[in-house]
Amino acid sequence: MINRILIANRGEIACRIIRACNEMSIETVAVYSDVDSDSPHVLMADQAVEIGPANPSESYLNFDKIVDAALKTNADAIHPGYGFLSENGAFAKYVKESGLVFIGPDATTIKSMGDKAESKQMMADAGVPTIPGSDGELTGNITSLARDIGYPLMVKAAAGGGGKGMRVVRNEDELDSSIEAAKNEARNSFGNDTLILEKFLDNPRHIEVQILGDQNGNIVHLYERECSIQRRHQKIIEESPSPALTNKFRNKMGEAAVKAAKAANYYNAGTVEFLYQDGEFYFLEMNTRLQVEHGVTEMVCGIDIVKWQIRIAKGESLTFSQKDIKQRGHSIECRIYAEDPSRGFLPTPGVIRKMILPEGPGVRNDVGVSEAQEITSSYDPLLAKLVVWDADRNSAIQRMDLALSNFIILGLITNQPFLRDIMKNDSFQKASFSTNFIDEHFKDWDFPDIDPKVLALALLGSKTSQIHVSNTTESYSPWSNNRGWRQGI
Amino acid sequence: MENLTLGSKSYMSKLRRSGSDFTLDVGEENYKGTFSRKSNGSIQISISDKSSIGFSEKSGNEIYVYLNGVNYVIKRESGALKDNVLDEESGDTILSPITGKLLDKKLEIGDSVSKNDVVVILEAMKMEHRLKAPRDGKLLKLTPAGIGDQIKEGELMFELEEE
Amino acid sequence: MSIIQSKHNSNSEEATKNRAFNQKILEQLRQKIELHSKGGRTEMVERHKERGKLLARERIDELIDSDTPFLELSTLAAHGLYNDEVPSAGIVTGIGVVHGREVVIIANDATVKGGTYYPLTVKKHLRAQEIAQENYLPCIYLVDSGGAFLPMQDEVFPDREHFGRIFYNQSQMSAKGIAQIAVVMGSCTAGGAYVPAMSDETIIVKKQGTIFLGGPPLVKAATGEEVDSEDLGGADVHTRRSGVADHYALNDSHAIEIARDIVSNLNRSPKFKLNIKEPEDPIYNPEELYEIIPEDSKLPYDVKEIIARLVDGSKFHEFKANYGKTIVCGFANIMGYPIGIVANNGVLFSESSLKATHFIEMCCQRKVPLVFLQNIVGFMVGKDYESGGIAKDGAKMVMAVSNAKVPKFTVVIGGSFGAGNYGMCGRAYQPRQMWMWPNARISVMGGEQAADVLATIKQDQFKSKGKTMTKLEIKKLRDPILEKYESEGNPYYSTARLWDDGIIDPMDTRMILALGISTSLNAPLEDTDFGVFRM
Repeated sequence: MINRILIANRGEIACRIIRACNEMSIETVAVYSDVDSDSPHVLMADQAVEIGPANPSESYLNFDKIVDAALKTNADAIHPGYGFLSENGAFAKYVKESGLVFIGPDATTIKSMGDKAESKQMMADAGVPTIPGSDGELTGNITSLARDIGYPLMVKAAAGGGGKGMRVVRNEDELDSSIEAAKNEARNSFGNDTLILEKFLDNPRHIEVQILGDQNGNIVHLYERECSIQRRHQKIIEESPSPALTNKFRNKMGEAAVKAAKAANYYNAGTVEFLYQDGEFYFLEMNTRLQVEHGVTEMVCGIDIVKWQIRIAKGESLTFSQKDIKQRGHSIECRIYAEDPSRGFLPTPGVIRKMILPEGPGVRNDVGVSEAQEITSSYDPLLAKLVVWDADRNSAIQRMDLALSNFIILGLITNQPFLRDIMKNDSFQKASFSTNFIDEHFKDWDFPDIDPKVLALALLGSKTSQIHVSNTTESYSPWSNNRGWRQGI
Repeated sequence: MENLTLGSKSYMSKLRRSGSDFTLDVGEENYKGTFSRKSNGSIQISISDKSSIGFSEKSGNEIYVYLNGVNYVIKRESGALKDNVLDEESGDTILSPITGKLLDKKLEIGDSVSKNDVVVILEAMKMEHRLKAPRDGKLLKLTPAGIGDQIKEGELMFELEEE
Repeated sequence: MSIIQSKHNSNSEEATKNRAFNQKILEQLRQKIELHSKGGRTEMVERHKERGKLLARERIDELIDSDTPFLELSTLAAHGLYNDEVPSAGIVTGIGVVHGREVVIIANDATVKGGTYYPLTVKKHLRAQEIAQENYLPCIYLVDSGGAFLPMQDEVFPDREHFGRIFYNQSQMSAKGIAQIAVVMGSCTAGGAYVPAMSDETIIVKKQGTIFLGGPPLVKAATGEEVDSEDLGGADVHTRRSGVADHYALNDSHAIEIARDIVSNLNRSPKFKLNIKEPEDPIYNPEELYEIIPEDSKLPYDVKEIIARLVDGSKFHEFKANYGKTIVCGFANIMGYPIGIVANNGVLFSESSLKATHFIEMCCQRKVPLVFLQNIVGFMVGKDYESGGIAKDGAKMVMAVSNAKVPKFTVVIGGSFGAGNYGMCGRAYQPRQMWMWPNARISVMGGEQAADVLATIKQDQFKSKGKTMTKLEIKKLRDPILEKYESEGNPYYSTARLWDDGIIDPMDTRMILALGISTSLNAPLEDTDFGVFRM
């Protein structure tokens, strides 16, 4: 039985999970680092436990502190969200050994899917298409192996992710130096310099399939998500369905994902990522957790993935089969980040001084920050996920642009103007793009020219830094009236 | 005057207001408009009769503005020069600032000099004083004193040819 | 605290009449303020701007934190005097905030007679300094003045409260740790040179600011030396050689920026802590004040209707509501600040005086600022009252008011006549600030009373000679007196002479009082020692 869940995460995903628990009448326990004491997820939960300083390794990544907090508060289960410990097999194992339920797949599944070489082998064995490349560790004559695969090819860390330890090799001359560099980076980032070689797709789309499996052997897929709009190898816009796939192909990809999940003895929610180019798709990796962009799938399939994660963890069986699952309409997600798109997407910490979220039919906000909150550089700068749904892709794009235009956030630089420009981009609207989209169309993006009205407004603006708060003992002062009061006016 | 910057662009702007009217100078351009503040903290603003509602808050040297569907973070700096240290007098004639000894003359009359080239070195109170050319030019006059000669404060050391 | 129950009816004939009257006099006030705020003659203003200089009020706008209030003092000083050629007496003074800290700003208006000091210019300058001194506010002098207005030197130079007092005050304040900052944006000649020289820290603007004891013409006359003003006392000379100024600024805006930096680096002791509540608007619309204030100051109305539209939540904790009803005393909050209110509600009797004395003592004990709403024809006269000792009871009130050390604020909301002015904290009793509504009247007694008194004395003289006065003779006697009192009792006559700190829109009263109280907390609140009360 699961009556109380500890959420080992923060930000919008912790809030998302708490909402699901509330709807299921399950009590929630939040954990937080000292800088997060007033964060929305802490305020939303039934109770909250402080687990240490801002540095994640001393708080959100610390096994003992999290499991202790769960035991102390009599929680029955731990939901890891995404990021942090969500794909850490050792943690899943530790949770289970502590007598708690880990909301996710089995620890061994997490472990084997986390190893790129192992997971690829497993998929190839199960008949899922994989990218041609070295099978397992690099041994023997690398040069001839590289010739067999064909250039361009990619060297990457077996234990890697997030673009680290990756190198594109265009021709044989670059091979040795690239391998050396990738090795160093892999060793530094992951403490493991095992590399793999594979064919490099120079113009692929990133398409992934959501799967859901119970502990009784039932596995279904919830169709695909198109996640090709990425910057620095991280997604910023996702949609479902993918405009690149025919129905026939869509089903084929879904079946392959189910096959992959079965091969991994998978249960709970997971995602099988594929690269798609020239009518072929290849297994990329499997994410053994809830995805950031799960919302678009929920919008088109009408299935609450987080609630099902909890039901599955309880041991319940799926109440629907593949034929019951239909895609309806079109959904798009934009990730609102505190980052500066004009300066290489550098994170832009700051204090949120005002935030007004867009509303309206078919608009969903997954938000984990609030006004007056300080966005520090300690964590991922994701502020909010704006999700829209409409009957078709064009309407959804229009709805997204309107929603973005009504997303008011003052106090820090965000990618909001950038996202709006993408919505207006012709190639985006025509769905003609690959993962290179941002490099191709927005390499030298800059903020729009400022209209005189904006300048006037800027100069008319009032001071938020409550001028009296810091240097007087008065809790309120008429001098902080910010309307430039004068007599008789 | 304030210099407002967004991304790679800057705007020298000045706003003067009187009641609910304002005039805005941006570079050479001039705009007239009106504004009113709403109870929810927003500001309605119109220039040449086009009206929009937005938000605007300042903190330190940043201004946060939302208008017409876009959020801006605008950096501002005051138009006034921050540096209020006087440059040393930089006429064409350089006089000795101290009483001391002539240690060296680096150039001859008629030589070309570049700004900040050392022309004359004096010594006083066990310290060297290097007299530099205030600008590029040609040396018109140079002290006739020889190396080791005594120099009085205010004595002409060198002069540049007029530009 | 209970909420005042208003009996006011906005639809009454009276309300309509009052509204029309008050709007009319308010419009007059606005026009006068606007006229004075423009500064000197248009061509002078244009010439000033052509030189790249900012106008006095523009300098102030740039100096204070953007969009914050500026409480200007005596905008209408010298109104109707000096041929109306010296608007605002050629100087702009007031309280504003710089880096969150209240300061007094004194800015010469060079577009008005070259910023020279007329007698009222001196008075206004000294008044601003007095406010700075009483409230411990740093002073920023934006200097742009040719010094004393020489044709009136006898009224500007020699006396105790004349030009020299400016520097005396600067010294006194500097000694108390009240920062004195001068920004030389124009000329500072002769005596004026001491403003920057006496300041703790001084900024001077290149090619604009000059400081010298004797200008070029005087130097030429005295020694024959020919020198231009920049070489004689410009920014370069004073920041590089003489050390008379400390900071070199390139233009007005730069100088202001430096002045702001100076303030940001001042040390600041915490304000006196009052028990501040969450501010609330009055329940009743303050605009209804216009419907309540009567045209004829003789018409009685309940002053609690006024209080209800000034205080937070219209909440009033009344003291001795049933005793001495012609004065209303009680506690309330204005924009969160606790205050004690003493408000007239008719002529003062012995009981009312005793009640007010008691209440003032209490406010001093509790360190609650006092607000006087003055609308008083005077103390009651007559045989019974004199024998009842009204003089000594009035004296008690005057004693209490005089010695009260809590910040006092006076608003003349109607008449201010005779000894009532004393008991209700008139100008002589050093309220921190004193304001007038446009309908106010101030004089030693009402015009009609004065006319009657004089007419009676004259008639008595006639009688003693066996003659009687005709009605026409009486009218001829009375009319000029009525006229004189009407003109001299007018608030513009008062404010022109700095008998107050300004005429205000009644709707601004709340804000002005709140700004005043907030400002007063910069000074320590001393304990009060009263003198001997005549019992």
